[in-house]
Amino acid sequence: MTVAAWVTMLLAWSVITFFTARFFWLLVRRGKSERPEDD
Amino acid sequence: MKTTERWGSRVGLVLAMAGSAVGLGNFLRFPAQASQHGGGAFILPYLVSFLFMGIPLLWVEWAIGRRGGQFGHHSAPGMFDSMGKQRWLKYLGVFGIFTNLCIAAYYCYIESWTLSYVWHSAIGTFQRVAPTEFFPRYLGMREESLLALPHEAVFWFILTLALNVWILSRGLARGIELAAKIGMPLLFLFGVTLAVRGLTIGTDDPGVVQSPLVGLNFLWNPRPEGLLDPSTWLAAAGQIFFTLSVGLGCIHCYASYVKSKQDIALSGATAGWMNEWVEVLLGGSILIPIATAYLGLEAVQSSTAGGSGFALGFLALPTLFNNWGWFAPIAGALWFGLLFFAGITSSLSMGQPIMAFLEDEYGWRRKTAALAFGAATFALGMFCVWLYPGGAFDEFDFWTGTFSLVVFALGETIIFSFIFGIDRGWEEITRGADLKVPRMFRFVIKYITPTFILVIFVAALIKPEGDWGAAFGSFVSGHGWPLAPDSVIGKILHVGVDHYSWFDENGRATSGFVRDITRMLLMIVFALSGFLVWRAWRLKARRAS
Repeated sequence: MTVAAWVTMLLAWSVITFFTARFFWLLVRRGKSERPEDD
Repeated sequence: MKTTERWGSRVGLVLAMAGSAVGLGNFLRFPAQASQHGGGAFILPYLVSFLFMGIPLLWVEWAIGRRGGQFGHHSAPGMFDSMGKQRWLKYLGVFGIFTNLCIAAYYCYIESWTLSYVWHSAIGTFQRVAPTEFFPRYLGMREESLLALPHEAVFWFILTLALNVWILSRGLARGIELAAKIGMPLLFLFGVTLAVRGLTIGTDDPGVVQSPLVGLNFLWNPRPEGLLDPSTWLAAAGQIFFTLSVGLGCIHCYASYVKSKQDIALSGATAGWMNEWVEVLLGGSILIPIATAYLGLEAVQSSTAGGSGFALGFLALPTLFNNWGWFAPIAGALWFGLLFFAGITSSLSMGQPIMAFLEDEYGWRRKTAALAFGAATFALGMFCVWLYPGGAFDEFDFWTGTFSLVVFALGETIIFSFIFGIDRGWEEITRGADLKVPRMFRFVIKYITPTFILVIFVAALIKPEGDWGAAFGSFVSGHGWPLAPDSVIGKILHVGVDHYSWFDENGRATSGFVRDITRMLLMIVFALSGFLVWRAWRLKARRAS
């Protein structure tokens, strides 16, 4: 694999993994602190 | 009958939403599209399209859905009807019934192939028979007549439909949510196992002609000139559009079971990013690297030239797994099992809006509605099974799985921003949000997202044969616009068909006949869906008076 291919792939993987993990973690944490009935 | 159903948990809801978005295209379409359009350079327009069209569209659909649920509507016609005073609004929602039903019909058929392939991989069929021999026979393409019925395909199709109907009839939390909670982790596990095994294939292993990293390089090596090519941007925007399950009405439906003050901004963004993770990290690391290792890059390039990895996934991979010795049947079952879980979590999301429409607007019980969905899907799906060799399947895919989605999404963004109003719309998106939504997305939702979709729509209408630059050159120099056979106008005008007729010289039905009766059938289904919406509102008006 060329250096450019490695850099592009790892950069794309990092950005996507970062946002997926960040939002999912936030969701799990907020989900736990949520009251059962909020309507 | 007003439903009081709710999701069991927020994580379950997000997994169900992500499961709806993650489909066969994540593993078969994305790698082919990326490698054909700029390689690594594809990722930039892809992520730009995700941020400025995908995420905003997800938020719009979640907001319309959650709002509709507060009015007791869990399907698109009722949701749109409540967004303004115009009586025609509910008829845009007809797309949310029609599209789901028709896509489910052929999608469940493909899903049944994956289930059948799990079985055949596990019992070692592909160690004895080449998939290139097996698959056409399975589909009934070896028969003399276009009208022959493939019995094994019908069996697996019925089994798949029965499974869908059973899960749907169990309800939201005990059916769809549970299926997503089981299916999504398994899909992840199967995908990671195959990606690791595929990327660690050694160049000295039996049957290997090239390193799998050559395939990965083909997918990721950036070709910067691709960024200046409109085809790359259109392909990236199209991939984002079709991968997220937007423009269908199923996100609206799932979101309608969310409480009025519960967050949708974070949930929508999480589901969207999860889909991207599966598509880019897993989807890009299985099909092309493994196929390149055993077939060589040239063969992979030619088989993905049309922008689809279907041939590689169903015809090549089962044979290539045979190089893995005792692991071959397991690898085959993992690959098709992964595709099956991707498929069923999506097909369930197509069934729920139709059932919700029958429950909300006609007072049907859940089990009756599930059976009605199964019967309608079976009838339409059998048409695809029966007339697959004549092109019925392609017609279903094009008019419902491509064209209708774009029309519906374009309509809903305009209604959301300009009829419902962006002020109220923004309030809907941000109410109860666990994520601070940047204010610039207000502008993006109102202007940028509809523009993106409009460009995709116009491009689908007039897609040229060859590249866009050459087509403009031809047009400007007075040689006319070279319409592609798979453009919307090209399809309507039968561009590229030499001798268009319904019957050949022996009086046998041709592909042209099959395609035309399929279009007629789709128009009838659309009209029937519209009639059901009209009748539901007429009954309501009578009851009110």
